[in-house]
Amino acid sequence: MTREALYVRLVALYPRSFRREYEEEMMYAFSELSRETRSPMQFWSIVLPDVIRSAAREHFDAWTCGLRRVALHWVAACTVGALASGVVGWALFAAYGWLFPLDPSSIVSPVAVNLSVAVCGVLIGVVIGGVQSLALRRFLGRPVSWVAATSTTGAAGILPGLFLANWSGLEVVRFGYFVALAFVGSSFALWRSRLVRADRTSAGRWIGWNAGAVPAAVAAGLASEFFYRALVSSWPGVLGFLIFPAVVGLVVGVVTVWPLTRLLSRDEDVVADPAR
Amino acid sequence: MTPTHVEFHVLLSLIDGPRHGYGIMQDVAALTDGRVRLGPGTLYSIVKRFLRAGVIEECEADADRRRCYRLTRKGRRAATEEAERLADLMRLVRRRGLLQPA
Repeated sequence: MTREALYVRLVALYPRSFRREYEEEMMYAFSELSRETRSPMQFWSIVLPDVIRSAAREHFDAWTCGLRRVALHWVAACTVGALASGVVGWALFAAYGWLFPLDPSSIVSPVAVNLSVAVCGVLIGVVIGGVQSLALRRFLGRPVSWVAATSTTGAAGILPGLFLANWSGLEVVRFGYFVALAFVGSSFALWRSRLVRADRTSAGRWIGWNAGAVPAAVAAGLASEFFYRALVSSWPGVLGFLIFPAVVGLVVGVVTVWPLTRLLSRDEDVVADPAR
Repeated sequence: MTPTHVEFHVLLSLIDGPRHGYGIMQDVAALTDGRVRLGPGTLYSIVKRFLRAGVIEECEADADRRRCYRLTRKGRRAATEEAERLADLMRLVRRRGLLQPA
């Protein structure tokens, strides 16, 4: 087998899109290199490591390009954002306990309790929305609008959500909580779909999946926390506190990634050219 | 963008003017006395990334109809910035006495 025939087989290891663009040029460069390098040992010591390294890299690039790259960034952003909001939440919780060592309900009015819930919603929304807007910055005209939408929905969505939970029978069945969470998820999605100028079909799909994603994620978070408590006898507070948001963020990211990519696929230029 | 060691050599090779792929491979080997030998896969992988980032652009094919590449303004700026970064590093190395002053 000649060097060229062997190299043709090696070039087949590269992704198809890369071969389509550069195979002819690579063959030309290979032929020239082959003509100039007489020693087989020296020649293959250049070519073989080159093929292994660059083919692996190109496969990784091909796998993580376009919408798939956006999808990976989105799942990572949801997980990191939720984790970071967990840290913020834990800090707030600790500060609250330090400021009000007594039972807070005995000294704080219901209005103040609702207000503090809304403030928590804003802070969590700012943290999660901030990380997500970094992941989607190429698709958003004004990334700060995404953060604003997430934080205002965080505040405005939680209170009516809790009202809905009570109205739908919170005392009777815990199902009411999940109604509230579905409301929060769909409110988030409604605002955000307007920011990426989605058409009605993909916006509806995105809102629907988000409405399901948030309660599913919270259920998964509660389950993971339950198993963690069952498995670990000593209960390290900070770590336990972080398991819940991490799982919630991961599940929301994974569940919403498909409708998100459909939502963003209209911006074909940005998807095709991530360096833009 | 911050180019890697091998990518910087490709940028350096294109400073003098456009070259086709094999021309870049030869020039990099000559510039480094054979210490850096690019294979076709690595070269075109870098070319693909540089084209995407707007660091180089294709120019008219030569007589052999081989594609040529040349630096864009952005590419020249990236090469200059990397050279300045390396020069700063060398100043630091010399100040610490690791190498004798030039």
